[in-house]
Amino acid sequence: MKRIFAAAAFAAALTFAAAAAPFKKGQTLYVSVKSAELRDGSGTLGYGAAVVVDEAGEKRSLVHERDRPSVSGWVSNGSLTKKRIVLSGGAMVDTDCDEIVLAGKGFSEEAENAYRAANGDLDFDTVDEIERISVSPKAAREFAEAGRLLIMEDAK
Amino acid sequence: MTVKKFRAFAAAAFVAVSAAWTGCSSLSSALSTMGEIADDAGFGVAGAALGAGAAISKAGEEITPENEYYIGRSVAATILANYDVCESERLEEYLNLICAVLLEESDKPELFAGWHVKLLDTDEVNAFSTSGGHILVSRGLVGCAGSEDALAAVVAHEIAHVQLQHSLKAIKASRWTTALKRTAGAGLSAATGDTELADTLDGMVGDVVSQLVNNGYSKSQEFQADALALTLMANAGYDPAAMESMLKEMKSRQNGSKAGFYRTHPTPDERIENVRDSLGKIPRPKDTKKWRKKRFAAALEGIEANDAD
Repeated sequence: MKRIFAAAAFAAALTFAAAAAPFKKGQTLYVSVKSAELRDGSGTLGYGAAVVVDEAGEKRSLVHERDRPSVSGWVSNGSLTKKRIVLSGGAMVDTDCDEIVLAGKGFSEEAENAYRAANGDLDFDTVDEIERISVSPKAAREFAEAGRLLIMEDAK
Repeated sequence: MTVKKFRAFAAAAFVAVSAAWTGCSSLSSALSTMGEIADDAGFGVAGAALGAGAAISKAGEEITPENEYYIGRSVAATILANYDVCESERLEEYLNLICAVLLEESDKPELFAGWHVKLLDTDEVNAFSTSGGHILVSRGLVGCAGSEDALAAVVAHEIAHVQLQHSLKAIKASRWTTALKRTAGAGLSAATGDTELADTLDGMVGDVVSQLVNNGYSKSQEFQADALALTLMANAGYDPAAMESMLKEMKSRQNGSKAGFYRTHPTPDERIENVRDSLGKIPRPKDTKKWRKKRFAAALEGIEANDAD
C-alpha cells in the first residue's frame, strides 16, 4: 500500500513539474493579447505575432519574435497561446482547425458594433476612456519598492 | 501531514495523472475533482487554487481572450449606463498601481487589453469587474478602507473574480454556441442589421449583468474569490489579514442596508469566517505596512467628501 501511494505521489510530482513551465524551449507560440510588453522595455509584441521560446519559465518566458529576431525579451506566459491566431484578411492556413484561433470569431469588434447599434443607451465612451488608463511597468516597480512590496526583477 | 490527508492527496494525484494522459478536457475535470478532494482533506486554499485552475482550463477551451474582452466591454458599458464615474486622477492612479502590484506574481497578469480600475461616483458600497479587465469600485467602498492593504483586498477580490472567469460562467451555454455559429468565418458589419446576433449578444450580456447587479455570484464563487484574493495579496507583499478588517468595516457600515454589495454578496460574517479559515494556511509576508501609510492617507484625502482633483 505504501508503494502505491509513493508511486502516485511521484507521478503527481512529475505532472506538476511538467505543468510548472507550460512551454518548452524552441516552441513557437502566438501572442494572445492586444499588446504584450517585453519586460525589459525593449518593445511590444502585437496580437497574433509568432514568437519562439528561448527560455521557458513558470510565469514568464524569454522569447524572440519569429519574423524579427531582434525583438526579444521576457513576456508573461498568460500573453501567449499555442494556437495560431489568424487575423482577418490573413493568409490561408491549412492546419488542423483545433490549432487555430480565428480572430474576430465570436464576440468581436464587429459583433460589438451590431450590439451598439441595437442598444444606443449604453456607455461605451466611458469604457473607451477607462481603457486608456494605464500605469507603466517602471511606475509600478517604483510604487512597489516605495511600499516595500514585492521585489520586481528587471527581466523575469 | 496526517496519514488520512496524505492518502486523500495521493488518490487525487492518481486521478490527475490518469486524466492527464487522456487530454486537457479530462485534465480540467480532474483538477476540479482534485480541488474538491483537497478541500475535503483540509487543503483549503490549495483546493481553491486547483479548482481555479480547472475553471480557467475549461473556459479557455471555448472562449478566446479577445472574446472575453468584448463581452467585458459590453458588460461594463451596461453597468456604466447606471453610474457616473469620479474624475479623481490621484486616487485613480493609486488604485491602478495597487492593481499592477497585485497582478505581478499572479497566474494571469495579462488580459487581452489589460486591466483598468475606475472609481464610480456613488456612496453605495459596491464593486464590479468584467472579463475585459474593467474593475469598477465605488467611492463608498473605497471609503471603508482603513489602509492600503485593505484597499488591496478589494481590488484583489475583483481581480480574482476575473481570473476565475466567474462572470463568463453566468452566460448560458446555448447562447455561446449560437454566437459562435453566427460569426464563424463571417465578416460582420453593423450595416447588415444582423438583429439575431445582436439579440444573442444582448442575452449574453444580460446574463452577466443580471448576476453582477441583481443576484450576485454564488457563495462558493465569492469564497473562492476571497481565497484567491488572499493569495494575491500575500504574494504581492500585502497583509492578507487586512481583508478581515475591511469586511468588519463594511459590516459596521451596513446599517440594515440591502443594497449594492449587501444584496449580492454573502454576509460579512460568513465571509469573515471563511477568510479566517484560509488565513491560517497562507504564509504571511513581512509586515511593511508603515511604508504605505502616508501615501494611503494622501490618496484618499477628501474621498468621503467626494472632492475631485
